[in-house]
Amino acid sequence: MANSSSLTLNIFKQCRIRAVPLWQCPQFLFLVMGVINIASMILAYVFGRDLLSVEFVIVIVVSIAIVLLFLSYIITRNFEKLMELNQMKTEFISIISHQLRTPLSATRWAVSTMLAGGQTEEDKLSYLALLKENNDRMVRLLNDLLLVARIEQGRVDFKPQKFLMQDVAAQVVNNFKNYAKANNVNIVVEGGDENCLVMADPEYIKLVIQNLVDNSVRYIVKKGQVTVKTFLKRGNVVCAVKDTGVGIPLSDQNQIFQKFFRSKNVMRYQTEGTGLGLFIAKAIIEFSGGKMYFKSKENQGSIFYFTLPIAKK
Amino acid sequence: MQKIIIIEDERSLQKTLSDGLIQDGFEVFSALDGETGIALAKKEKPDLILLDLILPKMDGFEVLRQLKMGEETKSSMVIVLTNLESSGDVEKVLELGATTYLVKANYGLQEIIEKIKETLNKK
Repeated sequence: MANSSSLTLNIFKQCRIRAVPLWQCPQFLFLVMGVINIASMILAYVFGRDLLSVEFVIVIVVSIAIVLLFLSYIITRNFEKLMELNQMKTEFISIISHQLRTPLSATRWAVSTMLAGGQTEEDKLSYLALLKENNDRMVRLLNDLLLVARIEQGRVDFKPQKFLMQDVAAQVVNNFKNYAKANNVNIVVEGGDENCLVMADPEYIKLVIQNLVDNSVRYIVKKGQVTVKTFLKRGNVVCAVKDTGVGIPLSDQNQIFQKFFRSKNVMRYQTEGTGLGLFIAKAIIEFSGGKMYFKSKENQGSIFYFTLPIAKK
Repeated sequence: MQKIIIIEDERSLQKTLSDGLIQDGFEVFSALDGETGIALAKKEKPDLILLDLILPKMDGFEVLRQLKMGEETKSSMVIVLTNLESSGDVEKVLELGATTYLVKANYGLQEIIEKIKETLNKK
């Protein structure tokens, strides 16, 4: 009995969390439907008891209850998923509009300064560079969104070729050197003596490593270390990106590869980020025949791994 | 000459804003994160601080709290300049002691500079 009353309370709570009125809330409607069904069966038995045995009625009532429970579970689960997705989309729109607002404000201000006139040639050039940088940023954001749309429709245009993973890793690390240094982060590449030959689209794999390294540098508070390592393991080439950053709270760990998801502790440190990077990275690796996984501890850091099959020579 | 510190991590916004203010005759100092901003405020004792809310490492709310708690910094006026605009954020920064709150995307550069002058004149 205690169990069933806590179940009822839980239903009310669920409906409140999802901000749905009771009469539109599937959890509650199923409960009402179940009660009505079972009550009507018992009433039918009361009036028709001369014709039916007790055992027969119990079997019917119990089996109908089980079927109802099963159906309501499936439907409410889907309903919850839809509500979650809806919530994530709302958050996503606010993230995207915020992300667009900053470069838009910057271009607006820069243009009005230029229109007011009176700058030296040098000033004008630096303003043009600023306009270009902000324009590039908006283009990158929209490209990420388009890539996500292509991934979802399975229309990514991969051009696989053989290459050494350590070369791409070293290239990315090299590109990040200055950015990392500016953020008090020491970035190093390890391994690479093994022959880590893979067959994939190097441009996309580069994007994956970039996304991982970018996250690592971004979520290191004050100072820290990022290590990118490539090695062979059980017929696969593995690339590991390790950092001494803020880590991912345990409660968020099963959601981080979801589109638009951003960990709560991350929002406190940085808001630049669309919640698309890891989703894109994982999808690219899976399309290329590999796997992506991670280990993380809050306030200690994370290691992201991805594997790709070794290419035949 | 009146002193202004801009605490803003977006270099483009930082640059356009400081150029505009310098042109209008202010002495401008820039910080790209909260900690540097607080240290700069202690040293320079500015008339006004322009503060972004989304900053790396320490957010603008915390920066504001520390500025208003610090003996040397609490007399500087603070204008919060951001793109967050939920009513909760507005109330929170005013409660923490900010003089006013401006949403970047809603103003042109000249309008923001006018608002800054207005605020300084009220002092």
